[in-house]
Amino acid sequence: MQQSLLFKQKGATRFNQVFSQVLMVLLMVVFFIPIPAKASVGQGKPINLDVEDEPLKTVLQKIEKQCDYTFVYNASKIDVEQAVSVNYNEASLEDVLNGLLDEKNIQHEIIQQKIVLTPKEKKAEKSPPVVPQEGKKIRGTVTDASNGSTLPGVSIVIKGTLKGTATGIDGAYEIEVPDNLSVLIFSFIGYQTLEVLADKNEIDVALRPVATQLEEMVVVGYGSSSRKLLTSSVSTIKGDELTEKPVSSIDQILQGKSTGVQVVSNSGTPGGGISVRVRGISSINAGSEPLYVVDGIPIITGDFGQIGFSGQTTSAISDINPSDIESISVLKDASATTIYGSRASNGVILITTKKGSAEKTKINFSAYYGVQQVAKKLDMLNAREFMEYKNDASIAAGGLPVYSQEEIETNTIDTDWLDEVLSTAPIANYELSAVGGSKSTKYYISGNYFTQEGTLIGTAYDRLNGRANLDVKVNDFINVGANIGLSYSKNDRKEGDQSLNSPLANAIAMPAIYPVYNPDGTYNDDGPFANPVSIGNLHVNENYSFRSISSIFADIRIYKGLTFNTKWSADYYNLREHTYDPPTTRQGGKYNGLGIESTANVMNVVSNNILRYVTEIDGKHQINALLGYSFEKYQRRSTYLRGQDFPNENFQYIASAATITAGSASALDRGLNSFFGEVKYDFKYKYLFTLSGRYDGSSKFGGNNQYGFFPAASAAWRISEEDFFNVSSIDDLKVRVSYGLTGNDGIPDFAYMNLYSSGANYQLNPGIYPSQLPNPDLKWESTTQFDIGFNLSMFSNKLTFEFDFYNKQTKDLLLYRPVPPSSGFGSYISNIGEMKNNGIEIMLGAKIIEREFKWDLSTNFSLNRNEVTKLYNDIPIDQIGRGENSVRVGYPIGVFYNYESLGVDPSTGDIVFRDVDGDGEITENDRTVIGDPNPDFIGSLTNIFSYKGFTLNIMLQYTYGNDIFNGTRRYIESMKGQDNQLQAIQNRWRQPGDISQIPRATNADLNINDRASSRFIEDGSYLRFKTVRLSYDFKPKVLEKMRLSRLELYLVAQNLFTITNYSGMDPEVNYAGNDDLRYGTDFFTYPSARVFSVGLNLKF
Amino acid sequence: MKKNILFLFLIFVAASCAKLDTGPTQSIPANEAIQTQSDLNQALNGCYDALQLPGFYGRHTVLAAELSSDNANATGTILEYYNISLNNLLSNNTIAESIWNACYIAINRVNNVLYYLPNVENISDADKNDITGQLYFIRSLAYFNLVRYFGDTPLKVTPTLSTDDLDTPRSSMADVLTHIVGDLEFASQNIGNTASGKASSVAAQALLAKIALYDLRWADAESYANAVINNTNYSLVADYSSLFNSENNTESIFEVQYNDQDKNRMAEYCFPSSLGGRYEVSPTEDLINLFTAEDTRLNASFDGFSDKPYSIKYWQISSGADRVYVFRLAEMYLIRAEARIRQQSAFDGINADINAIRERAMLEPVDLQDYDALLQEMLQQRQLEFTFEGQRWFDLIRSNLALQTLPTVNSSDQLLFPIPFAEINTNSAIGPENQNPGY
Repeated sequence: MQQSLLFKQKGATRFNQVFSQVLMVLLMVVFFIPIPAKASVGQGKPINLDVEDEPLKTVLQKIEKQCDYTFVYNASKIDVEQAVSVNYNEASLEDVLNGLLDEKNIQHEIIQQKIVLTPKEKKAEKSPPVVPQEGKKIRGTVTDASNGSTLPGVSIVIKGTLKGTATGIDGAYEIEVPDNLSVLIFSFIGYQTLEVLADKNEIDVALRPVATQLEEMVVVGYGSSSRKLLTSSVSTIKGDELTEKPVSSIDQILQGKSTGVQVVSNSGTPGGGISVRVRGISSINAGSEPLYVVDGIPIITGDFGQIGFSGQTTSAISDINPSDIESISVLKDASATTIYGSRASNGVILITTKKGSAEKTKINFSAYYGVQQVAKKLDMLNAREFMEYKNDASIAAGGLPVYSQEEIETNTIDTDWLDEVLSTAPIANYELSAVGGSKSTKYYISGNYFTQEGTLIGTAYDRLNGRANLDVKVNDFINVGANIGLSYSKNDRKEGDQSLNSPLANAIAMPAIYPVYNPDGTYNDDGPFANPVSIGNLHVNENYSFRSISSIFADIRIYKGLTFNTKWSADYYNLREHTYDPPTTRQGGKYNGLGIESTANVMNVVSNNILRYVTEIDGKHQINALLGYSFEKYQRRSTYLRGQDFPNENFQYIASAATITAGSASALDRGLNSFFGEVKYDFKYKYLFTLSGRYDGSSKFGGNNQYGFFPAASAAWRISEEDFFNVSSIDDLKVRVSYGLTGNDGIPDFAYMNLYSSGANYQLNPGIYPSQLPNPDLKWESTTQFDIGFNLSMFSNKLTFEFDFYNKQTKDLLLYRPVPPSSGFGSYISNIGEMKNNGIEIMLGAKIIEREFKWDLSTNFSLNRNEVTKLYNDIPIDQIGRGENSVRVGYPIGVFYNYESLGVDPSTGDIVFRDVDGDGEITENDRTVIGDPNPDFIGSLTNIFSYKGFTLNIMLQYTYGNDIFNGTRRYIESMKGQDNQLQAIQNRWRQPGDISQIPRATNADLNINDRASSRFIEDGSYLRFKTVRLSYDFKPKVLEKMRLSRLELYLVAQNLFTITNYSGMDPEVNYAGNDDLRYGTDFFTYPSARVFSVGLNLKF
Repeated sequence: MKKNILFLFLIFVAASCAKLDTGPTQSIPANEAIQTQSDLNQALNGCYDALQLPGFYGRHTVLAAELSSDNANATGTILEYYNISLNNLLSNNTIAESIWNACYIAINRVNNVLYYLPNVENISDADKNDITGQLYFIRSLAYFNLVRYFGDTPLKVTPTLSTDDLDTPRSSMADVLTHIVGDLEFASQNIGNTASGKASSVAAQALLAKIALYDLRWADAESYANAVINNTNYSLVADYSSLFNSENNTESIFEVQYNDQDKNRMAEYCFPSSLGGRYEVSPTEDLINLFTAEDTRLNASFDGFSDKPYSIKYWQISSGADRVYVFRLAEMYLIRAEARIRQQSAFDGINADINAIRERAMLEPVDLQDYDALLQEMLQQRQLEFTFEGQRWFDLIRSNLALQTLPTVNSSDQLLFPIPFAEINTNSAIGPENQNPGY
């Protein structure tokens, strides 16, 4: 409707002009592409035509050459030999057609790239058709263009008549049409209506889901639904949103795209793990990562690395190629997730890959190339400053200066270690795919190569992907198909945080007074830490993964409305790690060369068998039910070998190691049996109800609780469909409410058993020992979730608004219940704890300007409040990790619990800590809650401007109110010890009376100024220009010359800049990977890079 | 057609049930673990393995007794070591807790094997008694360390099989010692084993001798020590330094053994960082100065005198294979000497025992005719002989010398480590009121 409501028309126009000029100048500079001097108007490109007395047939051919259309007519009805004379200059196609055909009594209609010419009706009536094939039969099948599934109940009408039919349950139809020039109109709720010329005997049609938010089809658990008929809370990401950022991994796509989903890149490690939290953290020990389901199959996720990288985890998710994805659905409330039962408490992420379509094969090629750089480096002391500081620290402790004035003056070594290990690094991606098919066979095939070097010396990630998705229609009853996804990757890694063998940590901490190389060219290892350049170049830490996620399926139509679907899948993941430290490095020197080989083979076989029934009664009652059985068999086999004493650096594998110091192989089998079902009932598309549930049996659960039942119910009322509802500006208003139970089975296997384990060896003879106390009552963690929300769409979908409030109550949290150590055990695992999460999610989308210049805005906002409500005897779990996070009743999970720093005492230069218990001493009892790593709220703002093929997409992402424990500063502002220090310490306290935030430098720090305290807690809020993408889509006219159907060029900047008060390298940081309890701590962590890329997408 | 498809569906469902009764592959249910003699041997290995734990002879039981005494200082990064070195422990000291835990892990492993042992078929009585004796020895060693470090301690002789009835009160030190003396008497008569690195009847006698010393039963101490010294299978090695270079030498009565696949980190904790170590525990200047120039034990025990002195009794930093002595013959001479001093026996015999130790260290023999002087000489030889072998702290305590020798010990409360907070917090039979005084 009135867009003036949102934006003043006048302003918009002026902005429009200014903006377009700026844009053009910018683009001309960047792309050297000539911008068309004059813009075309109306439909397609301008037409130039100057003919004198030429046959209409020839004129039509000339027009065809200038546009994308072809003319269709019945030569017996249209006199195409008649001579015409016209003159058009830069006219629109519509104008040309009107001028050319109107007076000739020919009417035209554009249908699917074809211009159909028919005699004007009066004349048509007068001359009865002479076409003999009157009453010809047309048959075909209607499918969903997005996923290739057949669509039952599609209405088909012959244009201009009332005559029509509908597709059957298998999507097939048959209709009799008067002649070849009849037009069929295919329409179906949730899909774009399509008109097709009936010029063939068999016409298969693929309907596109309607692009508007409201009609959009949403993939949900074991099926799909139109958004307006959803009763649950589901966020979706599809189309351009999936590809706008050049990222290597799908979890990165999710960032800022969905309400209620917090995505944090734990570090900038190429191919590294990412934390994804849906509606807060709802577990302490059983994991908070959502369940990932690809094409209906739950996949293997997690870190299977056996070599410690100090928080830098690998992620099995990173094996999926983002460009193969058609859509991502994030299931959030219980109604949406409960069909995944005992694994659904942390939300479910459904990934649907691209499918073939029944049309001529289209080839896509896309590529980008970019450069990455570290946006912010730490400003460390130079050699002279370091020497002076060391002297101060020594003198303050009553010692002598470490360096004489002469040494300071004559020193020539001043290494910038960070410059030595950080550099600008390339990133690139190449992709080729083909999509197409025939009536019976459809396919999607793609190949992809991604390559990335890390900004940190010696790190890189390379990946090859291939995918083939195939659908075959065997007969009217059976469809079969296969989805095959393959990937191979190589990751060059370096040890990460909290390790004295990490190149980055050592580069930060190594004082500038040490040189990188000795005069003879060998690495200098005189410093207090191992030489970071030597580690970066000499340590070999490689991991190779091979992954195949493949499935076959069959859809069988049993009876009207009743179908059976069976799908069998194997997810195979192989991770091989190879590590070698040559004797020339410090670490390798200790062991005379150290090598590790490890492999992990993981396989998960899944079978889904679903019976589905769809029916409609009296045109009012829609019933959609499914009943399913699924099982999973999981196997993991791993081996690990560690050897030392290698001859020299040319021998890297264990075969050359003189001493094998560890060798093991281990196995794990696990099983899951599930029954699930769902009934949806819609009354007049107005009152919507869904009941769903799953019954899961798992080998992880104890004998007394082997099976669990997880039900949910939801309802929605589409108020805008009521007769009494009479607000014309509101297109759709729906209120939703849901309530249900889900579980989290992320508990250790066999934790319920009384066990004897192996490995207690003595003198190289095998030994066994009692390893675990039994808990036959052990079961899943369970979460009940209540959700209430509404969807609102106004002004012809120009404004969409979605709101949700949820309350998640989690109980039976797994905790290690301590037992008296005199029993010989420390604890046993038991369902004890409780926690709750409340939150609000708001999503707003607005099409602010919808003219030649378009401006779309979308924003989302999520707020979550977590509180731990019960622990074992309510005893806090304390001092977890570097940041000393804590789990305490009455507080959000993972709060920082430690000493509170009140600042530097001007008289002594020491930190004053708050004496919480007032006993005059600073003891452990004075620790208190000093920070909270959980954000107050998170969100994003996306603006998309487009004008004539140019699109500028700016996505801002923010998090507010989370604290970061800057554990790096504990060492590089320690004011003692061996580490180099930040420039900030130049403002340190030096003499009584000084007012400073930084305490004195002293080697005799009896006050322990550097203890973990609120001195190192910082505000981690940030606002980040996550993506700025400028693209240009070439016009069809240009494309035609190049025989292309699409060509897009783009420039994109990721993490362009970040507004934050955080002093570390990057506020998006988790030194301990996905660990829920050691959240929000920076410890020499590899920062995310700023990336500039150029790319192209090409389709032909 | 339709029937066929339904039939197909049924087949899928029937054929596809995933097995939920999968079991672990590195573990087996406890009640199936010990059924044959081979199982039994593996379970016995599991008990010896407990002695290797870091809290036990793997590290802390040895090093804490050095740090608490005048032998060693904390010089690394572990805060708890500093607290032990200053004799100022909190009840949540993780080192003290790891000693407690490791001892009880060993005790529970032994109790488990003893529980399942009667079910093992086809085993001779002699083998059964041999294994029982070894198990008793291991359990006794754990209790002996518990009472030395913590005083009264829960006496558990049955296994923990479920989460019921886990709370056991402290038993008096005397009761615990009485119980283990009974076990060790059995062990000394029934262990047939002579393999090195394992308990033997001689090892049981050695422990009986040492317990008698703590119990002030001097005659018993003398007779047990005598029995070991008179056993011709054992003799002092000629060169002190070879004690730490040769495995299973003639002087070794019981040692906890390690290898490169089953390592300890003693060397890593003692060595300076320039040699890849952590330098957590280093000898005091006083200790170094106590050695006379001709004493060969100085250079066999320490290095790095000019800069950072460090112990070299554990030196295999890359393999971690250094054995840890529990008993070697030298101690038996000094136990016999001490018992004879206390009983005011003939000077010659006492001097001879002390001189056996002195002369091996290339020191001149002594001929002292005064019991106080002999006692002092005996104690000094103990200190010099057993540096970094986990003896000094207990020698100071049982000789009532800790308060006068250690500047950081001002109260007898400091002579016992605190019962770990984790035990008091979870064991309803041990409340805060049952904590050792001063904690």
